[in-house]
Amino acid sequence: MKIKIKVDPELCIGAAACVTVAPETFQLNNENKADVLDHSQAPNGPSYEREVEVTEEELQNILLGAESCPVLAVFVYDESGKQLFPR
Amino acid sequence: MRVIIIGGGIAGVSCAEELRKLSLATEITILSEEEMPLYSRLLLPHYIKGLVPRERVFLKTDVWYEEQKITRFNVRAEKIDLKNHFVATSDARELPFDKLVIASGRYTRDVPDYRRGVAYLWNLEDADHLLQLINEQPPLTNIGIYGGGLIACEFLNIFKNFNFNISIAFRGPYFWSRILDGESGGIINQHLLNQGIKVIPEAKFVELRGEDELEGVVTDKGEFEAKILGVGIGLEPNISWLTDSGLKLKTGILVNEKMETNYPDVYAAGDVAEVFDVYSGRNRIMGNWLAAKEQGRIVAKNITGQNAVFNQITVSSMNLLGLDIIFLGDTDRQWADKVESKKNEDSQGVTQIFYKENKVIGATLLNQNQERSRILEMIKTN
Repeated sequence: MKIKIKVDPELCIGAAACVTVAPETFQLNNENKADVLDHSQAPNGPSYEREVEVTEEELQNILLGAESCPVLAVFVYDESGKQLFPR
Repeated sequence: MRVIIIGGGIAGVSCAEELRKLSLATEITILSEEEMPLYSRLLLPHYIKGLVPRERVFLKTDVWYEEQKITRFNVRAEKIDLKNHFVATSDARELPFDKLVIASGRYTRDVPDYRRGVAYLWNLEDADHLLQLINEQPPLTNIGIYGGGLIACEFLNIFKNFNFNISIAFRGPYFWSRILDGESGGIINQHLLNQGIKVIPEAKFVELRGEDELEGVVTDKGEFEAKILGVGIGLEPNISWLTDSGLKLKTGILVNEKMETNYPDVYAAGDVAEVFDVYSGRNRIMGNWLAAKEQGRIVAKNITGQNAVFNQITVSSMNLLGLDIIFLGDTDRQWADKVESKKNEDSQGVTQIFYKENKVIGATLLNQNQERSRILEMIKTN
């Protein structure tokens, strides 16, 4: 399935909880904020927002990463645009 | 099995949550002095700055506790009896337990004087109060800060956001003076001056000026006008009520890397726990959100018979008006036997690496974000 993952750089404080849980999807950049990756790759350069094709298992792990963020800076949407997290 | 968790912050709630995942039959009770569900302290500055609405700081809802069958009592734990396995509460009850988790956190140190306008920043009530004070003041009002650590740093970011005229006084020669070297400290002081902030180092608080409302702050290095004073002079683990409990205490409650105290069936987690740091070889208070969350989970695992160990390397990252400051692992200058400091002329940053017996145990990074993963790896592979 396709999902959209977005990090709000205004909210992100570089705690790196998401990076610990889902390192193939999140990586800290030199601004000390989390970039979104597509399976450890950054096609078209670094970005805070990305549409990614994932399995159910991968989605669950990305949601865990989002839930672990202490400032809820990670947003996950399904294909229809419905916000999966924060609920 | 009856488990009582003292403290409804992140350590206590993550313990309860993990415990429920591992065991449906366990009776879980949280004793908390705060009535509301779990919220994120780290979101409080965002809330004050208007980046998120107040309801967004909550990480759990009342319904969640009900669904998880986690009982919450809005009481203070006043005494524990470890021989007879009960907790005495402020509403005069004695609650029996099989396992006890102490996650009672820390409270803010205060200045020995008060006027309306003095603000702290630790819990949601503090944040509501501070926001109220801020809303009463127009831009360019004179505002003060006393302190030179993480909370003072948050006050700076908040007050600058509202375009106040800021004076800051602190006890040391510069921010985090017991952790940073003079080079890093000098860069931070200069950065504050460049932002138009009045900096008063090595200043000891004397008293406040004003009738009922705050007008100014007096230090032994002079005084400054302030309608609001943000105080951030440190946090104390909440352990005074445990003095006669039989638990081993130092700065906090001493626990090993499995979060076990010196008493069987009694654990501590979060800011009150002085936990054995497996990398630096001493007990210390991690004082960190992610560490508290992980420690709560470790306790739940060990209560249910696993053999889990806390081995997270703590990372604290701060942004001080555009300067990135990151502390990794153990950054105690007294404990380290060598500290190496290196300036990066390109980034105008400084990396300090802390060694114990030739092993890397910690680091501070000032505008050196790119070093983070490399140094974490060095600590991990020691």
